[in-house]
Amino acid sequence: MRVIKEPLFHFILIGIAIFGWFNWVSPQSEGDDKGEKIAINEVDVDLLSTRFEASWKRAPSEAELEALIDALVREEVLVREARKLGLDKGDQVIRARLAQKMEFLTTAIASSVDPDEAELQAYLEDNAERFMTPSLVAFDQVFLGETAEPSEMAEVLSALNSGEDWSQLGVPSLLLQTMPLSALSVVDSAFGRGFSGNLTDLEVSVWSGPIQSGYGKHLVRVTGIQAGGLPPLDDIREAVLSEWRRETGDDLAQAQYEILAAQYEIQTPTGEGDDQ
Amino acid sequence: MLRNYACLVAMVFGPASVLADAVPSKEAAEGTFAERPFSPYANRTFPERPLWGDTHLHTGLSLDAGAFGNTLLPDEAWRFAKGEQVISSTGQPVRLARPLDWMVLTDHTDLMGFAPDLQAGKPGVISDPKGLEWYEGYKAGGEEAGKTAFDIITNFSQMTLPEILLESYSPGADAFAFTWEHIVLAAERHNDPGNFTAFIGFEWTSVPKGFNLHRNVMLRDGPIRALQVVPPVTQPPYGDTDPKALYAWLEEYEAKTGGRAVAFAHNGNLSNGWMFPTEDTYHGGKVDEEYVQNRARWEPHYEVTQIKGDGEAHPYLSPDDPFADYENWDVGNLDITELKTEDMLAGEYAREALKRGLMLEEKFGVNPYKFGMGGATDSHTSLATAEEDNFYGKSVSVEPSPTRIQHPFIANDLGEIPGDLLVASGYTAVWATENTRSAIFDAFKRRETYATTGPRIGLRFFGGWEFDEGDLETRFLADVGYTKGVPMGSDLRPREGDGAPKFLIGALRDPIGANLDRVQVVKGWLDAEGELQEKVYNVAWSDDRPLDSEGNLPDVGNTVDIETASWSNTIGASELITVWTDPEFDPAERAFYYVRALEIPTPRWVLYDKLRFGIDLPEDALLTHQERAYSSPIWYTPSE
Repeated sequence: MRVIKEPLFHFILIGIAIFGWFNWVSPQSEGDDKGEKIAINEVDVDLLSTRFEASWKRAPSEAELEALIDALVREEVLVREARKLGLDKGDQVIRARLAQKMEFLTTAIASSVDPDEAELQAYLEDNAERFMTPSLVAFDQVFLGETAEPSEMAEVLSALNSGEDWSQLGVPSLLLQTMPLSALSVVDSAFGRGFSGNLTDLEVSVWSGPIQSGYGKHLVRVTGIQAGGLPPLDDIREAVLSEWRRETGDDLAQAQYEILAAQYEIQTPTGEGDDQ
Repeated sequence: MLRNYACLVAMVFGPASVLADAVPSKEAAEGTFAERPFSPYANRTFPERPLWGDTHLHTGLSLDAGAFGNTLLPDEAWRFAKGEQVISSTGQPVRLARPLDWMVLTDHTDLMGFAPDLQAGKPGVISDPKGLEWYEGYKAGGEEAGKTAFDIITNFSQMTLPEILLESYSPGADAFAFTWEHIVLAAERHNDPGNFTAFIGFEWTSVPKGFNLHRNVMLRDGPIRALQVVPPVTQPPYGDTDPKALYAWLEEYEAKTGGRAVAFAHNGNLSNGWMFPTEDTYHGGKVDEEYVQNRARWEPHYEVTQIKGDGEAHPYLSPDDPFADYENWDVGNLDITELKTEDMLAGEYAREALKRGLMLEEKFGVNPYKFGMGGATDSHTSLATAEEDNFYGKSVSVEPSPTRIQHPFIANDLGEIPGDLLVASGYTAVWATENTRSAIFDAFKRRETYATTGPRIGLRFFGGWEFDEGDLETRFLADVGYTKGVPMGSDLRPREGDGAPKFLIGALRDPIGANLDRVQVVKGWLDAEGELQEKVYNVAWSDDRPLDSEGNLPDVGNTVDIETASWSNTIGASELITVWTDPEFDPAERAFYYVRALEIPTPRWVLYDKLRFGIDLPEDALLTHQERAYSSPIWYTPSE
């Protein structure tokens, strides 16, 4: 796991605050089971009627609302009795639901953490490959055929340098004669692996070669070149931030889990692997 | 760049005082214009290079893909297509030899998003007894997980999925909407106009009684339009398997959002004759005016080759075509619950459908089967692999391993598709002027696309009335082609004079691939007696081989070394160009023409498995084959 000191610290602070708040409010809402009183208030009724409207596109009638309230009371009674009997213990669905709610809580917190400038910059540099803009090259090419004698090549080259119409020289072919400014990978997918690598060091506007492609030999005139690189953070901040969030969200959630798990002494039968 | 653009806007729209300030300094202006023109496509009027992509790929969000253990979601699928290395669901590092230029991600819409929740044992899944059973089966892994996946898919195709699960993962449910949002936003994150185009799409998985009527859908649009809708499904009561329901959805999508969408079918070979009907539709309807109009309007494209078989031609339908027998799957329907009979084949293959289209056009005035050609992987691994030496299989259960070849794709009491018959195919090449959603989508609409079984064969195909041998001397084939004729996917211009149509054709081998054996023109027509006819012409070939009196060409040979899975380009040609005139043209007959270009023999994927894993192959396994490209047709319609 990546260690993220700064955000983790914020994260823990927020976490403590939220879990603390839940601790503080939960006894009030759930704690009066002993009183055996079930009170349905206006807020509950409003909620029932809103839900009804959402599915039926109209307000519930008196009778329908009455039935909804009865159902809610019935559910509450059954839930309380079930709890007393301990029926919630060991139920895989309830356990999964509770665990899921905790996960929601931690990921929600994780997504609210803002990294500082240095953190984001470091992330950009660590993942440079993903954010790099590609190097581009544009060129004209004259195809010499699968093989070319040095003498033929010299002949074409001298014709080129004497200003003859280059597009009429060499062996006719379906290959692109003029490649517009394109990423090196695009050039390689048209001319074969490694072709572009031989272009980037050529002098611009000068016929050079022979350069080997997947088809044979070429004379090439580079007409433009634009080095790729890592754009400054400011230009791509939003993209970097969203990638950082997506990636660190998992790490932060895992860190939170580890903090919680550290409160327990965990024993498993030795010699057995995990259940994955 | 963005700031320069803002500056430009200020210059155009800003008040005078701002204008003075906004004039860029000399250095800034040089910086802007020396880099490149604002539009990288300035001065280009026609497409110069084919853009390569896959129209059909599934991630772990698809029900079946996820059930088989695919844990890679759209982000990984996009990154892989763009050429990044990823770790497959079985833990293997994998990368494409060459990145794609574009892709359509097409997860199954039925129970979309269920699979990841199943894998995680989410309460919404395991609160249902069947869901819990599947979760436990999935977690058990191995054989048990395989059985579980099969059970899920059977319940899907027999429409017996638990109601509560269906409701929670169908249109109307939050989980369904969130999954769609996930798909849309992932595509948007990876869409990089000019460099890589990420299409928003889905697969509408109609498979009534195991008859494959699937359609993929691609949108021209971004999230603003796509998020106004959720995609349609096929399981009742939330959807319908009748293509009419899909057409209605498409109609509504365009009307509601102002967007544009197309649909395209695949695997007619698994439809038992229902893919290209001429009289009755599977759903009890008739092939009537409404049907042909809908089909013509919404389906301008067909996925002709993919992992579950090549669907261009079948030897039963084309007995005179020695190359028709290529990677055909003709055992039965998708789940082999009904075996194939010969009378079904005509409703399944692309060439026959193109012919049937001529007949229906004669009848209705509209050709419902006037489609362009494309290839796709239909991989369920999130990995768009179509190359023989880098094939990651149909599903996670058959990612590379010493035993994958023994896993049948399907086997039951009626029949079997053995594992070695999976096809490492294919891709779609698009002649578009720029790498953007709108340019590529529009090329699909005008059918300026072609299919290959994987290799990046370059293919130009123009039809007209004026091409001549002199055009072969040109160094600007595309200039001549577009000027004197029309490109693949079009209708021939109205006939001038009394000549036959002429075609300018150029094929270029894959720069890192095998040489070309031959280029053929496939012609289909409706004769004066109302009978459908076809003929395959050899029009250009390598090595100066002589044609016999019947127009047949000797085999090109085979250089594949079985021991090393290698071949050499000592036979075949790098490039084949020709102008071909139809020698049997009758101006009164409707016709279409498309090009098929064949490579010299190369190893099939199974040979790489044999070599890399040191395994024995089944005795009848096909070791070499001739990969190919199929152009979209050019149509001729007699004038009134």
